[in-house]
Amino acid sequence: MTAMTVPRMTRATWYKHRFSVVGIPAVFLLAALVLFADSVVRRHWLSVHHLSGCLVANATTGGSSCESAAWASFSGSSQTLNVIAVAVLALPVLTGLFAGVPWVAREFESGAFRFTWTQGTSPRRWLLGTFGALVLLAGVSAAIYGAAAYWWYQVAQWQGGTSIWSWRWSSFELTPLSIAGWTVLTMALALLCGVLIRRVLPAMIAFIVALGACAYLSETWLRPWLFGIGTAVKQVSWSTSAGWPASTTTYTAATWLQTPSGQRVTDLPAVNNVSAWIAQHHDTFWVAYQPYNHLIWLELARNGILVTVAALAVLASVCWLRIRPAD
Amino acid sequence: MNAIETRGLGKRYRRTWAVRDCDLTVPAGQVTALVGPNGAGKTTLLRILAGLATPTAGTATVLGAVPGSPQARAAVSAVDQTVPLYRHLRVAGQLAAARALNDQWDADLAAQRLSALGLATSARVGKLSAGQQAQLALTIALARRPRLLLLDEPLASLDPLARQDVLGWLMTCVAEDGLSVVFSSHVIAELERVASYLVVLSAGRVQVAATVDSLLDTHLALTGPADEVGDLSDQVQIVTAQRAGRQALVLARTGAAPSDAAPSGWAGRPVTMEELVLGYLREPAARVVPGPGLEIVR
Repeated sequence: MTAMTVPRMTRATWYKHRFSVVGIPAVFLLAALVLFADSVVRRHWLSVHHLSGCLVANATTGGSSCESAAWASFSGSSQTLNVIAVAVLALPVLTGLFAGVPWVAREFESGAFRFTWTQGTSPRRWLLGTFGALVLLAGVSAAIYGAAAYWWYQVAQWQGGTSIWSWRWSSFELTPLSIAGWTVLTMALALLCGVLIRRVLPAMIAFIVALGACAYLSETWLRPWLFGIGTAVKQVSWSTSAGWPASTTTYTAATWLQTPSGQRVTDLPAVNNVSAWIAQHHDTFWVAYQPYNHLIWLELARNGILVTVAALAVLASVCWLRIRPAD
Repeated sequence: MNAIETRGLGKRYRRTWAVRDCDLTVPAGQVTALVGPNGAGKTTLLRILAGLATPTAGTATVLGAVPGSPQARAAVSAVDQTVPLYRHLRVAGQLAAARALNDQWDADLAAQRLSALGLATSARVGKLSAGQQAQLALTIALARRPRLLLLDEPLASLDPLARQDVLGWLMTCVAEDGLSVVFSSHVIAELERVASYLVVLSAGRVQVAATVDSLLDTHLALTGPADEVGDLSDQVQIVTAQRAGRQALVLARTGAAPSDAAPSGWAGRPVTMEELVLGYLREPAARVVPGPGLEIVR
């Protein structure tokens, strides 16, 4: 940091990228307002019908009466709910695509970066100063949007005919932490694609591919892997289900049989009467699960990984800019 | 202190060298004309000096600092031939962005210049004519109060009146502030009026680098019989000879001291800068390199 200070670069960002600076929070806050308003209306309906207790995730109140009330009043389906959840999650993606990618790629494409680089600011400061301002703005706006989405989704998933289960992928993703984490990652990937490719349209395509790969890995590998770490283990009864963790609040990571010699068997025997088979062989049935209080830590860990990947993308952008500044 | 110093400077794009083995020293306080045919490496050299491109080989300094360093950035202004501006901004916004990006900013100079040009600050940059955009870029470059100004084809998009105006303004800045200017152009006749130092680039190499006065003093345009060009080379160093029927027009170097004495049988006259530049461009093998005396290297 030399004579130029970050706020001055931020000021320059305001002059150069007013549309993004105003547009990003405006879109997020508008969407948050819509979700919030819709949520208020839905919650009011629940309150009037004395069904507010159905929204409590870590309680067993309500139960089947809640589900029947939902089915009686709404014809929602979990499929529709998934589509809506994806639509809510699309906003950070669109932000990265239409606000993140163009700001850097278009500067290269139009040659306007030569203006900034021949003023009293270095390419690195230009990159980090502009990115820092935009990502901070997007991250904070996304967190507010995420809070509204979380509040809204509590009602939506119940009205969609599914029970309140916080370990579902959509419940996990529609939180302030997750939406802010994805937003930071999308902005960082947008930065990397813009710096690497330096053409708006190809950079947008690369961004979609890169983000798609990240989302796929997160869904198919990262989240299941994280959910298997630090699990609590307990013995349960196969026949009576006694001791089984409450299904509404916990996540079952693994189940297995344990032989008297201590050997672990993950595949259940292919017999008609498993209970009898277990009793006959003096085996015990075990379950590894994530208790409800682990959820926040797992969310922090997953989104911490997203932010770390984002930081690596920013670092790669800075390094690439150093290797290949303008030519 | 020299405005520019390069030693063995080279820049390669894949397999092609845009600039190669460039040894150049330009003293401070000069208005330097950088000329050469298309693809000679002028833009690449200026971009390296402006810190916009990194050299593949050799070193370069501007006012004693490495191009792109904070010291160089504070002292050097550059206007690229693409006239990089934010075309979606209004003039006022462009100026505000430039002001925010610089520690040193002469708002009065910018305001006076824009007022003299009749450029409305509410106008959108992208709606300005190419000439107006170039004028705006020049205004911003000078409002930074640089000590070295690098201009790549700054006059190309200007009408004749505007060219005169810009050159006059530049000369005022040079005279008042001791500004060093390096600018590339194809319009050699206009450079002649303002340039005090000449650098000719050809095929990525420095072909000529010397003060304009020393070059004009030591070169002659000779007209005489074409069949005696061979004998003439015993008396003067021939840079280039053009034959037209029985007559030949020769660009000759007469020695270190000023001379307008033509060899017998030949009519001599002082060369113009345009003739000098064109003569060297026609003969890329001929070089005038700086040193104790000028010499032609073949």
